[in-house]
Amino acid sequence: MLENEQINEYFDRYIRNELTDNERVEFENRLISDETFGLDFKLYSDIVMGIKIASEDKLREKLTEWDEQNKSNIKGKTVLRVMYLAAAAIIVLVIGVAIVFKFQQKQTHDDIIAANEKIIDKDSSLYKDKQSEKITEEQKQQNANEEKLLALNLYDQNYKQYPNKVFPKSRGEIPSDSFARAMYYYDQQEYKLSQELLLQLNLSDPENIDISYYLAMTEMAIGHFNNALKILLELEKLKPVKYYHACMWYIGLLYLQLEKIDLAKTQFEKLIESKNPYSIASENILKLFNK
Amino acid sequence: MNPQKLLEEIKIGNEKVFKEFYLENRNAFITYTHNKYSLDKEVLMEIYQDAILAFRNNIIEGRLTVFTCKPKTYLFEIGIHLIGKELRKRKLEVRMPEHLEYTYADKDANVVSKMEMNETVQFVRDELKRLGDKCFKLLYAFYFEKKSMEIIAKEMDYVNIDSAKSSKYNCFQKLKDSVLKNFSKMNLQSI
Repeated sequence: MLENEQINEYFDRYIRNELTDNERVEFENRLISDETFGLDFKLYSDIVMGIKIASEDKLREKLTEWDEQNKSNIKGKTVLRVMYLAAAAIIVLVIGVAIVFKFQQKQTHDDIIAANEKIIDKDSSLYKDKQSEKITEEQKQQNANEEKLLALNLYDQNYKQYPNKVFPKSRGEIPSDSFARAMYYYDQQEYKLSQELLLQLNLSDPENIDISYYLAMTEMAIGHFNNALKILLELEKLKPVKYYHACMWYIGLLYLQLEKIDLAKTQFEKLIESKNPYSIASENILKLFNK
Repeated sequence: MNPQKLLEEIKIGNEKVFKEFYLENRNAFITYTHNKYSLDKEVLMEIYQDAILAFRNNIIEGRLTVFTCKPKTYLFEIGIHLIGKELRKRKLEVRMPEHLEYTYADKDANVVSKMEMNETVQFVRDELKRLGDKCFKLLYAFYFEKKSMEIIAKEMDYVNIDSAKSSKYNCFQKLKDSVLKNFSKMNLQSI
């Protein structure tokens, strides 16, 4: 029988992913078979959730404090800047008056005006040229940024978990077969656990298309976008009937996520060439880019 | 700062780096989203805070281990996702294909304080305010910042790891006792 403190530590290790695979399986089995253990864990989880929420409240307060500090810093800086500008303006004014006074002694009034207008014209045309160059560059940069954000937004809107078609009834008890267990975790959206199992399976059976495909799906779900892309590009070359269009679709989405917009567009263009489950969504994405 | 360094610093709880990243991107996010979506700046400010909290949670919980895009882009992506949720909540028109309406994934934009909570969780949240600063800091460091007991013991000046562990257990136990005083164990089952 474990003491209270040891039980707490056991729970801590579970939620922090510090248990070995065997210990984890044993833990999860016990959750199902031992009612008291299950109740204790439920209470523990609620307390931890409460701690996390109170902690998040605390951090949120801190963010608001930072905002306030930043605002007063900016106000302080603005006041200082105004003072500097005022001082600079006074100095310029004094120098300007002195220069004009000196010129007036040597030149006629008309000469001074002509000279001043020339200077103003020159300065103004230089300023206009620089401004228009700056605007074009900024516009280009802004367009590029907007296109990238559109890509990310489209990824977000279009990405969804590919259904489990290999072990469709994997809910319920945790299966003992590794692949079935990986798909069980996949259904539970425990993608990291699923990915770890699929990775091992893929090493021992690299030819298995189902394993490779779902490994790519889990890599994608946990944000390993480059890994997912690499696997899907390999699969696409094999043209597997079962996953061909899905491969192309997720490759397109991954290009969006990785901000490789031209490659993404090419991928979606390929998908609208024939009728498939992804052709309409691909067409919509291309329309948004062409707008 | 390079993205991986940023990630590592946030993971170990470097508040200075986190603060800089938060302030650095705030105005750009508010300006960009205010022009694009018809939401008040106050609402967008709250969404930005939610986004940065989710961003941080993803790093601390180990869901984000490497950036595949710029950190700012990733942060904005979370923010835009949360804006989508807010717009849907307000039942405004959002351009989104019908077949995707119910599949819009929440994967990376979770903020625990915005989740539904049961009575026990709510009770613990309030009870923590009465528990004292030292206990709160200890539990904050272990459960929210995911720091190891070794680091916690060092940072909070405990004599050794065992003493920090024992304090943590006592604090947790105080919370547990309060919960059990207020709710019977059997009732907890149904909450």
